[in-house]
Amino acid sequence: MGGTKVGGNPTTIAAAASQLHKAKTSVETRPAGITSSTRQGETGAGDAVLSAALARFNAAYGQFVSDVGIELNALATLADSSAADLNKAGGE
Amino acid sequence: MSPIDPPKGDLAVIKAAAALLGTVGGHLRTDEKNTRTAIAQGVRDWHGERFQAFITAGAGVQSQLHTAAAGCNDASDVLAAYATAFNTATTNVASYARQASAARTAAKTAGPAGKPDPDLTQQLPGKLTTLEGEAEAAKTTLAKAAGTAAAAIDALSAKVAPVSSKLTPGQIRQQVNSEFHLTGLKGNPNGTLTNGQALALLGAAAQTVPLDAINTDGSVDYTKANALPPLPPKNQSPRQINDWWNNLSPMQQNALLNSKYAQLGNLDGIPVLDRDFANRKNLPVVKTRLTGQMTTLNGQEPTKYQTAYQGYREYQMISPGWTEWHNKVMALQGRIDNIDKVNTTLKSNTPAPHYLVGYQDVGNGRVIISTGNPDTAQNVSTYVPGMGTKLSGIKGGVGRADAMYNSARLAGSPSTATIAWYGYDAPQGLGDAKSEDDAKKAAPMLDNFESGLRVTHDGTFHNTVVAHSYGTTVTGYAASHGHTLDVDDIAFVASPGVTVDKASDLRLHGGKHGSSDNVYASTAEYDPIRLAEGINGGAPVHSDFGSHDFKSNPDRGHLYFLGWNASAHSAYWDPNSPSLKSMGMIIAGSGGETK
Repeated sequence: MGGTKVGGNPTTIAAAASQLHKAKTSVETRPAGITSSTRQGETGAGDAVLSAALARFNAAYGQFVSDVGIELNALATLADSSAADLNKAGGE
Repeated sequence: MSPIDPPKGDLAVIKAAAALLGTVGGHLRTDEKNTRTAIAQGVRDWHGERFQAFITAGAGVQSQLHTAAAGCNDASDVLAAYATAFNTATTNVASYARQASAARTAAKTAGPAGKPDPDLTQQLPGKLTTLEGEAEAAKTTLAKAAGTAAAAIDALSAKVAPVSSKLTPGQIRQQVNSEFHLTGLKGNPNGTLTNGQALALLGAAAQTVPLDAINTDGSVDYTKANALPPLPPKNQSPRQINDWWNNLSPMQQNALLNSKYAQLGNLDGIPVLDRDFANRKNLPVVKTRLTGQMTTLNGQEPTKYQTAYQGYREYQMISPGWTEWHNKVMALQGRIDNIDKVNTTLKSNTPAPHYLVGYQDVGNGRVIISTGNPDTAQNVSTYVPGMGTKLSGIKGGVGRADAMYNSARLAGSPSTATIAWYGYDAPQGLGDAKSEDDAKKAAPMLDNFESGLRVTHDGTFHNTVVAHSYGTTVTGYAASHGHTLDVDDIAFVASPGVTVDKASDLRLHGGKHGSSDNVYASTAEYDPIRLAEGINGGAPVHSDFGSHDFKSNPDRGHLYFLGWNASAHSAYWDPNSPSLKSMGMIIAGSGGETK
């Protein structure tokens, strides 16, 4: 994939970065919702096996969504950095 | 009589949990949409190396949000279904409690002048027992529904696990750096994310969607993303299959699990939770197919009787054609019944959840069921049964696996999985059992299965095969004749011979030779298998074999005849028996302490 000349419109790239930061902020609230719902499920189910499965679901999905939040942050950072570099280079 | 208590739990809370999970799923869909819009904005006028990194990782992030949203919605549906089951059970149990209360009151007051009624008083205990039994049955049904829901939730959890754990951070960084030539990433001005973390996570995200499934606007073509990659060629090793599986995107894995389940469920090297998902999906499909065949067969019943003659006497006899047809019906019904038996066995969650690690409607029927998850347990064992084994007897095999699970736990195993491996066509009679032919056919399958357990396990673990009767012949063959059986210990129980003369002829994990440190053996004094010792190679209980012998119950039993007790051959898993205790210790890794 390497070797292609870098270029683009820093304004649209920076706008994308801004939207991605917002998406990241939104996604990072989701593990709380998953935890809240699975804890309710654990309490309400009254069954140890189902409660344990819900706890595992909480751990797996909470971490998964948290990772996606970090990935969105990384994407936004990549876009931010690229827009900044393009601005420095005069919008090559 | 004890009062009839309602099932534990709270319907309103279960419903609220289901609703909240559905709401979270909806929010994740919105996040996915907003991410798609942002990425489309970014790729509108951008090219070069960083653009490539951005668009591929962006597609990965979208697909992960897609998976998470679907998972939350599916989990919501599972909980909603459980809420329905809970409501039914609660309603039924409450009804039984009311009936019990009314019966008590009537017995006390229905007599003359509001005094106790003698007849009703006499009938009361029986009536209360019946009602309590029905209430317990309703609770048992609910517990089964909870087990089914738990298995479904676990399958959903398994779908998200591989995304960020397939490669080490070092591997990801190396790959991203070499492929994208990403340098000079400035770091995150709004948080603590380091360049290395950003690269690692982008690299992981970039691998989740195939390049040809990414549209020019950065969105994901889910039809292409879900397109089925070909299954690996035959004769691939479990390691190769595991590598192939781990290199698929989560969406490709899901697509395959929902379409090629019959094959994936039996591929050694596929993680156990995925095999369980695939095999459970396959069972009702096979049953529907067999039931259809039965309908067709029932429509083809030939005339049952035909006229025959004995001398000049005419009589009616059952026609050979009808007998042939009837035999086909019985055989087909047996295969259908087998599926019901597997389903019944899987519903039990004691002493641990059961996983369907293999199922094939071939030969005598093949099935592999694990008590506990062998990919996560610290101690794993595989029970290899002997002559006469077929799928219809799986309940007994899992019963032995359950008994060994409990025994290993008592022996100090912190986490355990015990597998009933009905994965080969066992000899069905003494004639075939005197030959090594069936063992020779089964050995590669057992060898592959154990290697598969090793490659799909999370980290290191202790692995044992416990083989019984002809199963010891299979196991001996699978650990010799060019095979290396990837287990740490073997326990041979009631062996007619293991195809080699010495423990040192066996090859175990890492090519280690068998010895009294890792090969254990026991045969009860009055077990008639002793008459057959040596017919399939060396008997491991013989003093010159070189194994560590452990004790079996020497009781002659009530079937003692001419020096032998037929029931001794299947008494090794009897509760509180010394052999069961020893097998638990061997599975737990303390076989050296057995006597």
